[in-house]
Amino acid sequence: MIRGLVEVAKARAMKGALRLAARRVKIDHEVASRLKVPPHWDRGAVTVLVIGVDTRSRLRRRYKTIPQGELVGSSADSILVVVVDAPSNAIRVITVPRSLGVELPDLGYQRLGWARQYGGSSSLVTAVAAALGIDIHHYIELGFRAFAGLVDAIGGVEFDVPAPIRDWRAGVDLSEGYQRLDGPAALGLVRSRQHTVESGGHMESRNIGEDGRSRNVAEMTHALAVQMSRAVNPTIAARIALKTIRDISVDPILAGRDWLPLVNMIRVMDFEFHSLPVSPLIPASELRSPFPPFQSSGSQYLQLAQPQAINLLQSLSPLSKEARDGPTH
Amino acid sequence: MWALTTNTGKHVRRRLVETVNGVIGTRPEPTYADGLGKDIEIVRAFPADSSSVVGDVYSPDAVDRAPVVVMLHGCCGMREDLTRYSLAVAGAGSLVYNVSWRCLRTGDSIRQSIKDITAAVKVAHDVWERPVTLAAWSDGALPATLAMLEGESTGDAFVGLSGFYGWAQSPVPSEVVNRRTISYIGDDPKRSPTLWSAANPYERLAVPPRRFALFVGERDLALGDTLRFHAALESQEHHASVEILEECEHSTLVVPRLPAGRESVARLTSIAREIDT
Repeated sequence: MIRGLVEVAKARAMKGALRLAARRVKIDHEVASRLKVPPHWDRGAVTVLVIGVDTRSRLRRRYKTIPQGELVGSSADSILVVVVDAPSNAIRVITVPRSLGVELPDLGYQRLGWARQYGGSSSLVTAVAAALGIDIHHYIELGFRAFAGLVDAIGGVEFDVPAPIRDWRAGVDLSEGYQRLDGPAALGLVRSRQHTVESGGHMESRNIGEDGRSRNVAEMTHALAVQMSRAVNPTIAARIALKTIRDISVDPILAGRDWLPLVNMIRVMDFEFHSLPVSPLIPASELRSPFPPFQSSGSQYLQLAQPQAINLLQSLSPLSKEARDGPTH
Repeated sequence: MWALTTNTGKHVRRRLVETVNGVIGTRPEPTYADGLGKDIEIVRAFPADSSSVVGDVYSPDAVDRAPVVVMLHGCCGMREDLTRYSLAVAGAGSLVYNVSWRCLRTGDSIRQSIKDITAAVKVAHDVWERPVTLAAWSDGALPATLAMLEGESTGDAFVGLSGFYGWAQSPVPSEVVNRRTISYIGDDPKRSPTLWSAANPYERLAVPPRRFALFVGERDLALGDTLRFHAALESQEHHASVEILEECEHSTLVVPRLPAGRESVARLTSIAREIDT
């Protein structure tokens, strides 16, 4: 009886926290016209584009240790397609490399991550949908402050750091091994590309490249998802609603939906993680300049490795009508 | 629809449309991008001549007063590598013609590269009828410098963006001779020294003085070579300057999101304006 009352009280508290969060979340109206009408959470696969952008707004007040940098504009650092598939009882996360080459309206063949900087969120949604041949139903965007805030709201994230990392650019100094990272440390880890590692008793710089960074993003997303599914409770939801949600943007339809079914699904569903099969558009050897001292005089663009990519996407998410029908002439 | 932003810009736009129509027979749709806070008109795939040389035109609002910059990518790259930089230069007030030219990546020879670059500059001169600043990144600077030194009207100023300008020593240093450079220049330097001599800007400097500005980062691997080429230019009485950008590496020099990239945009704009006046 008492347990039942506690559960009812918890459910009400959770509903209240989620309602508060929905009222305070930032709404991105621009993106709405590029999204497809989503099915109900229970009735089909809902595809959510989750973007980590390098915006530093309102960072100084709460996170003084995160390097502010002097970048102009914001571009997509991390791009995730999350398929919430209730009928299959699975949440599938696909990491999409930001160096994927896509045709952007007006600007030609460019890196996917750049779409956000010059065309805004709507351009990014269009580019991802066209490149992968999928429909996108919802859009969520987090800046630096939101990411660090989410990690802190759930009490940090447990992560196995593969090697000592010191990167002043990303503001991270971590020792090797399993540990609990706070928001700024977790953010630094997913941003860092230039690791300084200990090797044979001396420090040595190692560039883990775009691949290494994508791997860190995927592993961090996995760790965060697992922990959030364990930790989500009314207190944490309220903490997120009060401290972090204002730094997160969502599309207007998602803002207006009931979030409780989604939270419940995060708690009970299985998470699957996939990275998109890609290959370099131009072999690295051809991008390398034959004239010393240059290492490269062209940019690296990635392309989908077919048929592996289309097979993976087909198995994970419903393809868009355009992708099913093939190109129209 | 053409959206004319200034009355005085009409003449220039009309000429551009006529030229484009004359070559490809269709009118490209101008579009706008929010490039660093400025509205910039973009015309994609504007042909330089009847060959396969094409480029994008980024024109700022005040197109009638804008200095003209022809932008050239690296020898292993493509024009899209410099789209962001071109947008930023257009945002700072220049009319930028970002060109695809046949290069090492496309399997073409240095002679073809020089022809393409010369064709692009000629079209820029013809269409906009004002001085042209040639800006070339990385090893794209090699054929661009040669084009600048060869033709009397190839460019009114040259800006090297962390460029490669050839070799000061003779014989050709062994690190420059490899399978790809042999293919690009045409033969082995021992068998065909004249080909290599023709491909080395150091050996083509004895021409009437030209305006050169060489940009390089203070942490750039090209710093030593750039200073050496600057000294060679000065010794031949060219109007040469070198700009060493702080906190800057080879690739960051053309990234306008970073302070070094913005500094290089500002300095390039200033040179293009100086030439224009």
